[in-house]
Amino acid sequence: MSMNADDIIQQKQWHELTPEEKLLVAGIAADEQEFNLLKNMIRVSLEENNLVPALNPILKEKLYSATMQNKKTNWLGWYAAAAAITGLIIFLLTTEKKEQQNPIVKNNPAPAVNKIIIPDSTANPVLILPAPSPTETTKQKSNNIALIKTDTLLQKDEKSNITTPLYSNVINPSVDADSSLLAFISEVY
Amino acid sequence: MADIKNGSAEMLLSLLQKGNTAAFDEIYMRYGQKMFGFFYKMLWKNKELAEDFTQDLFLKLIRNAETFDTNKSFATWLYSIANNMCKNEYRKQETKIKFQKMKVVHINDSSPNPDLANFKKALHNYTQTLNEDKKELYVLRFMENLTVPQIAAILDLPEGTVKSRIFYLLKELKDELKEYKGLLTYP
Repeated sequence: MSMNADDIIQQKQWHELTPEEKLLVAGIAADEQEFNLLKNMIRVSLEENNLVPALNPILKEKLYSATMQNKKTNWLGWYAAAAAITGLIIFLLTTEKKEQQNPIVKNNPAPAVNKIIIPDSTANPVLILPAPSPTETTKQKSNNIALIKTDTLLQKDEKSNITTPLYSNVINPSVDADSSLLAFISEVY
Repeated sequence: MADIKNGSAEMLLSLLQKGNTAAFDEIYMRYGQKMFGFFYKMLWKNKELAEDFTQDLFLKLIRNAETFDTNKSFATWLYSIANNMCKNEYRKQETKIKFQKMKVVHINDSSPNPDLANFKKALHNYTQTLNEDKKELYVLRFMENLTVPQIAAILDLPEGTVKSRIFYLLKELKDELKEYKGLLTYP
């Protein structure tokens, strides 16, 4: 392993240097005097370590108590986190139980929300309607249909190429079995 | 306890994180005086300031032990934090530095050789006037006696750059202290 110039100065005497080492230190120490000057400089610098006073022992006490405090803080953190999680779990369980006991929720479970996307030959306007719930009345159905009709007529005004199968696509899933409603639709249309 | 005495710094740090006071004792024993010495030399030989910095450094260590970069050696990591603290202090107290530079330094030297005593004083005074980069290099290389790879890791510089900076620093010191060329090498 090759030594640095300062390593050579620190570890060797001028007369011990090989020609290669002399070449290596030549940039900073051209002769023996300069070499020795640097050697002295390095030695004095290292000796200054002996002039460093001893560290005040009170400092250790202070840091020791900081370590203990850190330990306490760590535990406090864990306790706080555990308490927060437990509280959250209890809150969620209580809320859920209360909701289940509520007679309104119990008798009328929320219907699943289905959406029907009406395919459109013009591709641009897309009409999204909620699927009729099983308890939907005929009046509600007719309202929905009226809504569809208005929307579609508006579209028809704008784009005259809209096609009629649009209605059947919308109504088909729930109306098939209801012949009176079908008659009503035909009448309205 | 025997494990802690022989334990690696990484192991001690993980124990310190859990508030293990024995691990703290061991780390403090290994690095307390060493880091105080570094701060003392870097911060104009101001004992109180060096103590404050040592305390801050160890508090950082206690509170942020988990931030230890395992790619570095523990000593290198500690020196990098300490060095950055000193740099911040230099910037904060720029005016103070100027004041410190002007201060006459009295070195207690019992050397019977007046030339040597003068040489020591001249070296000390000159190194106090070195700029931040040169001073950290001087302290790390010639006072702390760290190797080039260690210094490169602390300063986050390529080894070649460190070598070249050391070379120019020695050249500068030699030129500055040339009047002591005739001084005999003392044992």
